[in-house]
Amino acid sequence: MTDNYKYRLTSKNFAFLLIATMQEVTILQLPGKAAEFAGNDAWLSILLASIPAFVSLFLILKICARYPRLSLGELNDEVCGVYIGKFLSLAYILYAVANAAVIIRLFSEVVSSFLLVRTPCWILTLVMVLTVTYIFSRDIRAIAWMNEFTQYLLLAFFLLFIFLVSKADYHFLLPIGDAGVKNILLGTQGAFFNYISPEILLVVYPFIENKKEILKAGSLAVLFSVVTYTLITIFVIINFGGTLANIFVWDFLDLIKSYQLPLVERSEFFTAIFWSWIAIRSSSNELFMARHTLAKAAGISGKYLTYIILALAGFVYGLTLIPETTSETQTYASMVGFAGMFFMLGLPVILWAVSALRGVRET
Amino acid sequence: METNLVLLKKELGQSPQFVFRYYTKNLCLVYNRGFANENIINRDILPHLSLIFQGELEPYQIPVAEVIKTSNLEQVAQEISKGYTALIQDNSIDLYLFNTKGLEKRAVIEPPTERTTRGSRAGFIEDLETNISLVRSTLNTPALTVEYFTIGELASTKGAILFLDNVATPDIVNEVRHRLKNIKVDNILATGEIENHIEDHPWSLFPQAFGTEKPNKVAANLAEGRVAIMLNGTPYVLLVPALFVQFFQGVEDYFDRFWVANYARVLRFAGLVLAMTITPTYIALVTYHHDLLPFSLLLSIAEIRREVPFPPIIEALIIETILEMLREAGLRLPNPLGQTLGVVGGIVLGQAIISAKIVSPLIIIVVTISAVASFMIPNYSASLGIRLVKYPLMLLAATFGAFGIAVGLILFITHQASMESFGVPYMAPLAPTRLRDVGDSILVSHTWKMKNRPASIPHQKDQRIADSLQEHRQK
Repeated sequence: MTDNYKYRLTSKNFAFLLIATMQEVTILQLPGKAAEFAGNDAWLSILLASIPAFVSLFLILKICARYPRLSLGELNDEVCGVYIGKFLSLAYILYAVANAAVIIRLFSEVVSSFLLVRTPCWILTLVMVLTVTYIFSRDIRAIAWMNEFTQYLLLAFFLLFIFLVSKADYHFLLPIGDAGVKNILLGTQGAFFNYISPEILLVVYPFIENKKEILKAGSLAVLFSVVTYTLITIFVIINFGGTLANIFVWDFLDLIKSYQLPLVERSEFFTAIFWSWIAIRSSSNELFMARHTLAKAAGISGKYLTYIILALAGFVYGLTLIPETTSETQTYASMVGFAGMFFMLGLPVILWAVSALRGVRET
Repeated sequence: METNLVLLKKELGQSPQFVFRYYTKNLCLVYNRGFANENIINRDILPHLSLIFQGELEPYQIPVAEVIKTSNLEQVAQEISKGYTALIQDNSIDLYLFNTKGLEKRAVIEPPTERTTRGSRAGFIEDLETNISLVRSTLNTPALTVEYFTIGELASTKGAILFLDNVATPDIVNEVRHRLKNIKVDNILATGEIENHIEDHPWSLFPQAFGTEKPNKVAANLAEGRVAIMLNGTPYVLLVPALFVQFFQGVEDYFDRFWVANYARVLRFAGLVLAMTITPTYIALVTYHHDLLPFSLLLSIAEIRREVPFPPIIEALIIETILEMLREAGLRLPNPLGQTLGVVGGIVLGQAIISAKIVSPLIIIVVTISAVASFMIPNYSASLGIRLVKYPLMLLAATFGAFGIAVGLILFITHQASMESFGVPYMAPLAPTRLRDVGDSILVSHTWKMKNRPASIPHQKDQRIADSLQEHRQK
């Protein structure tokens, strides 16, 4: 267990890491959120909401190119000085842990509502926390490879959703743009948060071997998410319509539930397995980012990393127990989303501006 | 001479196997009755001793294949144990060792655990030199390098590492040398013990060295850049680095028709998934998610299980345990008895256990499919590991249903992804993806299309097919 940069990532590994961190449990309610304002044009809001992610990648690369050997925990100190740097690192760690906690809690609620109705939520979150603890205690390469392998399986699983078009009414999509530009833009609000994650590049940049390929790999990863989200939204809209999509809490899951497959009839069994992976992967990745930033900011390595991992696991479990209802969890999810927007767009700008003022050039 | 003999006796230990044959009081032959060929001694050595005694012949002129001159008594004792004959002379500190090895060897027959429908039937035996020769006969190139080593402080065993010096990378070869050198044990009995000492993840369920008894498999792997580890006294050869997908590759895959080979390969991977998940899925569906089952199936399951007193997990554990016991018992029984055990255990016991309503017929079907699926995996060590993975998945399914299976599977995938074999990712070429090698992973491509060596295994010379006639025809 070590966090030195012996464990190199390829740009392809990074792409899979980014996809896995970006795609999390809130995909299940993404179409409904976008449809709140944009109605049947929700898919256009999903497309537009991806723009900040591309901008973020560009900004982060600008700042990381100046400090190619530094991860976020060291970068903050180097650019902003020890006190502000440590404060920013701590804020990022809190954000990453809170993000993981929200994902874990939300998914536990999904499992509790759809599969294990009588099992208390705290038991499910405990199982999730123990699982992600094992995963984020591994080195970055193992995590990236796990993400890569599961992504292929998930892709095969997504292809099965082709059956979701069998009872669809394509007229729901027409006329395109009927909701109006203002509503489509308002619809992006709910979707922005699903594109948060490029900030992980601030943490993993020193691990990546071919830095020239990062922008291409990162952009492809975001594009992959854009396509996935748009397809999911279109599936929901053509089946339920924008109005109904907005009523369901977990609209995509409700859509899957409403279909019957040949032989197995209902596909929730497989959906539960694959969606668990999505939630586990994104929370594990977030916690790895927190662990690495904490280790770098505090200058901890070797066997003391075990204590960091255990402390983060305990902390994240504590956070998952705070919300009392699903709507409360959603409120926390929004707060974490806003924080995420700051780390995705605000922090790179601040770091870039300060380093520019200090006259540091790209290497 | 007497001093030498006293010291040698001390080195050899007390055993009537060692013969001290005095020719005169000045000349003595020492050999191991069990390992030396007495015909060679009687025919080629004894008739010449009088000439040596008279000073008309030097010991190295004795007409045997190999004569070693040494003054190291420890070496003399070791070689005598292996079948050499030592000549001890009065007034000389030098001893001569004659190669008179004559231990009966087992025939080079097909190994029972690696039967093949096409391809070579030859299998390794317990003799190191024969095994090296078998590899050399399959891979006849001066690049085939053999390096001997000995392991064991108390009783040493000779072994060898084999590699192609223009294909295998020095890093891998040096790592193998380094790890073997650092095995400090009194004695070693099999390559399996070496595997335990040199593997990267000793707590894993899965083998990190590929074991085989077939010379053609060793040759094919050496040609890809791997290193083989052999040990005298065992027919089981280790190949490192090992990949997870390697355990699903059969020799026939490269000989059979393209579609047949691919069908078999996909079937084996489907077998892996079924072996691991079919029993946990049954448990999860019947325990938690019965509402997800088709109604007609649900009714028949309910009818079948009506009189069974145990929950699905207990049912499954009873049958799985009985099946594993039968497998373990059948493994070492002679063939006719093994068949009887199969009939008694599989048919009679199975029928009785259903009649007694201890388990439902459905779980017998599920567990049997799982067992058959696990037997599809060509490598015995890997199939054992996969069978064991099923148990935690069953417990997770019984506790958390589909969610438990998801958790178990992702832990399994993460564990596999974090493993390495001699610095090579264990899950390559799937994670990390090496597109070039995908043609020999879950699917198998035409051999004439495998123009380069697998990217997953470090190697020096990339190209292995310079020009493909088939490719020209296709164009």
